[in-house]
Amino acid sequence: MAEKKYSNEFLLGLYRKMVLIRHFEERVKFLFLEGIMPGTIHQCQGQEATAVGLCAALNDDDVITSTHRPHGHCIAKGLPVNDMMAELFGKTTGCCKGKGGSMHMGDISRGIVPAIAIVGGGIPVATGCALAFKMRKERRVAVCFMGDGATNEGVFHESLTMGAIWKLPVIYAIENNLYGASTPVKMVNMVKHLSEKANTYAMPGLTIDGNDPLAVYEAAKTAVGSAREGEGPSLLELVTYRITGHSRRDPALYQPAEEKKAAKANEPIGRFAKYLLAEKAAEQSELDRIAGEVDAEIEEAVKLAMAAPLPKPEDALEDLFVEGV
Amino acid sequence: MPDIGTAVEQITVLKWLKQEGQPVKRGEPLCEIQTDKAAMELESVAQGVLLKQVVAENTEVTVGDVIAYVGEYGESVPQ
Repeated sequence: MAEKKYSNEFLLGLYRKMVLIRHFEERVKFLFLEGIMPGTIHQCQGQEATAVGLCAALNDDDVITSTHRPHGHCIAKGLPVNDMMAELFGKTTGCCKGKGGSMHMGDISRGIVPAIAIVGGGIPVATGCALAFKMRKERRVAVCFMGDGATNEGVFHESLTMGAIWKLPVIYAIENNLYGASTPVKMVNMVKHLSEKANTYAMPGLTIDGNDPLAVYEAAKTAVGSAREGEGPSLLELVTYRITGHSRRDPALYQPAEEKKAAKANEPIGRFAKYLLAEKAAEQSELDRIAGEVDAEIEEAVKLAMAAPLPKPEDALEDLFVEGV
Repeated sequence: MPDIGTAVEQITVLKWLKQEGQPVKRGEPLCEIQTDKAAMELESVAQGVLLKQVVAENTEVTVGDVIAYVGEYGESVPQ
């Protein structure tokens, strides 16, 4: 854990968001198992610290792009769980009016480009957002969340080349959860650390403990600061672990039992709780209270979402074109 | 048998991991199941006591079939 001092309010804010993400994902998992919610879904249990640590270093008007696994990113950037749950239920009160669902979760008014589920699809979009900020002389930054698998897509090379030569205000954040779906990272990469790929573009590349929200926050603060000052992009590799399947239908049998056990002991929320207690930033009772509040917030979201109306067929004809740009 | 998202309707209950009378927590593995793609553990969606295993091991069931009753001690289950 980083040695710096933070306000208790800041630390508990990080903790609360991580718990909100975990409990949201768990609630959604059971909505599926109970047969209330159809389809499949990609969840981020175990990866909460990457999104929360990184988004803590952003301003409200900075933007993020996300992936097929977007719930954590959205909560971390400030999307209310009411809007997200309604979207999962396909209701008109959802953040995309029920037309996006899990893999297009987002809200541009909160700086969340609706998620792009195609692997690597967000990389050129984030780069383009950063180019727009630079051309308009706005002091905003774009953060591109991507998985480890995305770093082997062709568009990764094209986008990072452009980001680097034009010194764009963008942070490329790799959430390395050790598997591209079921393929081990080591099987498809010759470098030891994915951050070494930054060398090709002569941009800073760092490998960070992605299960430590403060380590992520510190690295992000530096990268965001230099991006905002016009010094160009950075590549952050946030090493984490997915303690659930790639998707709902994936029992993750390719994750060895020993590795899974170690990962559960290293999962970010339990670790951060221990840190908060050791630093006397909070009592256990306060952490319990936060968990209770979070659960109540999620239950309210489920209730509202279930009661909300479904879109009408003719609503499919709305929101097709942006006017007044 | 919940729809576990595998797009298959037929699922085999391979092995019970909880016996009748044992407490079960929500999210705990209840039994091992086998689809045409993989064998995996099925998490319990209910919390309480496993009152009855409705199907025997190595029985193929359809999504939506009742495979077990979880409730409170002493509660009666449909026969």
